[in-house]
Amino acid sequence: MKVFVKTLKGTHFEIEVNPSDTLSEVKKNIETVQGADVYPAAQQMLIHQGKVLKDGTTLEENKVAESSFIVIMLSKTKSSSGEGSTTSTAPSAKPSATPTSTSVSTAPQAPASTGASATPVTAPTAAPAPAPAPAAPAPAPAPIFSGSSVRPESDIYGQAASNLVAGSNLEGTIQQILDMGGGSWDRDTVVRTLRAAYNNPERAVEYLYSGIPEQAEAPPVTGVPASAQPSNPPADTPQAAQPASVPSSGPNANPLDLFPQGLPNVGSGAAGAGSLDFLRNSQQFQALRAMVQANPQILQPMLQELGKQNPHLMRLIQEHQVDFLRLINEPVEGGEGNILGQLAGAMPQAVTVTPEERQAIERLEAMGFDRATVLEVYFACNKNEELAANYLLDHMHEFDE
Amino acid sequence: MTLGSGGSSVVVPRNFRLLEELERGEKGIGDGTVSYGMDDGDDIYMRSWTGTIIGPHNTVHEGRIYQLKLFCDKDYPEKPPSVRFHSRINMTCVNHETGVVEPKKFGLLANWQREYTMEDILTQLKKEMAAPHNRKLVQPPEGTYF
Repeated sequence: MKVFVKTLKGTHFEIEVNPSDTLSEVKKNIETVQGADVYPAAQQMLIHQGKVLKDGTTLEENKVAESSFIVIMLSKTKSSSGEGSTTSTAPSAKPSATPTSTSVSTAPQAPASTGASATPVTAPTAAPAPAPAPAAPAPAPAPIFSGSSVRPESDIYGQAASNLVAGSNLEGTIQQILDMGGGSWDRDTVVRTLRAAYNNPERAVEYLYSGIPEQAEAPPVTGVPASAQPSNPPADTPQAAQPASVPSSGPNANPLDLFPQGLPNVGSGAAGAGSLDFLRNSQQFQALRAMVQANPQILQPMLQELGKQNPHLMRLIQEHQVDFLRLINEPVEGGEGNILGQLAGAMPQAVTVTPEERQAIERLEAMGFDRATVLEVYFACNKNEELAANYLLDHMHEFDE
Repeated sequence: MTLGSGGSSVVVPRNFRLLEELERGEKGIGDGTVSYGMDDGDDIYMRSWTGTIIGPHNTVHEGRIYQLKLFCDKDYPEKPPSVRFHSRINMTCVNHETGVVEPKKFGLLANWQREYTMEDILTQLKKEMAAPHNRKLVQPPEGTYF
């Protein structure tokens, strides 16, 4: 019998099956017909009349008849780093672990430098997208469980850049966002928000729902005072003068150091109380909450790590899942009116770049764009030179205005 | 749903209405991101239904499949069905303990009209997932149920 398989892209195809075929066989059939690279059987999920069809069952058992429609979708492959956009992630200071695996370090340590020959570059304050400036004040460094070593992703910026669209993909993205809005947004609005979001679709959708922030829509700064932009800044600028330096391996490079073995107030008394309210006052938890709200996908890997480091607390969280979700979704305090944030906004922000990145910035400048615009776009594109160049060229006419 | 001929109007009986919805569910709705069908094929009153919603793009729900149960009582479609998420979800209109969609917090159920269908409920819930107050809420682990 023929069965129609509907894809989430709006297309459909038909397959020839028998009522006695199991779902595993049907999935293999689809994989063969459509290609293993398009629909790998292991990742397929088939839905029929509101039911997710289980592998062991047959089409007949699931009442799939001649000319029935089945919806196909691919489940995400689980990646250890946690999927999702890193564009809006709040950077966290990454203290270096102490050499001895048994001791617990309590002394706050400075973030690791980006490299011996790293040179600070002054970025214009008007830049809307560069993630380096933290939105909320970084919490005071907490005791670190030094036994946990986390391998930083080598290509974290590359992954982040994959969220940005350019060229032929741009048209498809515009159409996808229009479909998502169901006609509530017109094309011009979508194009404008994408532009303001530097072609990052996730941020563009956010702007469509919540409005484009003023600084994101403001035309790029064309001239920056000479004092703010030393052409050859001194290489020996002390690290302390850079309030917003980027940790070497990107945002959230080591988020799992938030869970020391001995969290405050997690004694037997707290467990007996059966409430998670004590977490509200924990600096580690506040830092975790800020990071999770910026990038929800990191919650699961963090909880797995917590399970290894502090099984007692993990058990408490499992027993009070609802309370934990309520706590983690509470707005971060001090996010609005913090003095540090205002000070950071009032002065030019120093951002550390490696020699390679500096060369990339210079190459982009050599294409005929002013430094302020280049820096703004380069950081918005997560230091991906090719993407930045594409964006600058695509929107050249805007920068001339 | 009324059928008008001249001055008179006929109210479509419950069973006919549910058969219409069943037929529409079998054909596959729209882009496939929502679907529904009967849960218990032997129930002559057609009360128990099951639905799925595929999480919308660019939200925390993306790539997730949410399963729901809908119960159309004898007074459907005059009264709305009761709707309950089977898959765990964190949403403002869903009770955190039971997974029930709370009518007071979900406009479509609060202002129910007999023309509305189960498809409308699922579509509206999907839109609600993409609303600013829901699209970034931290979600329970995938594959957990109420």
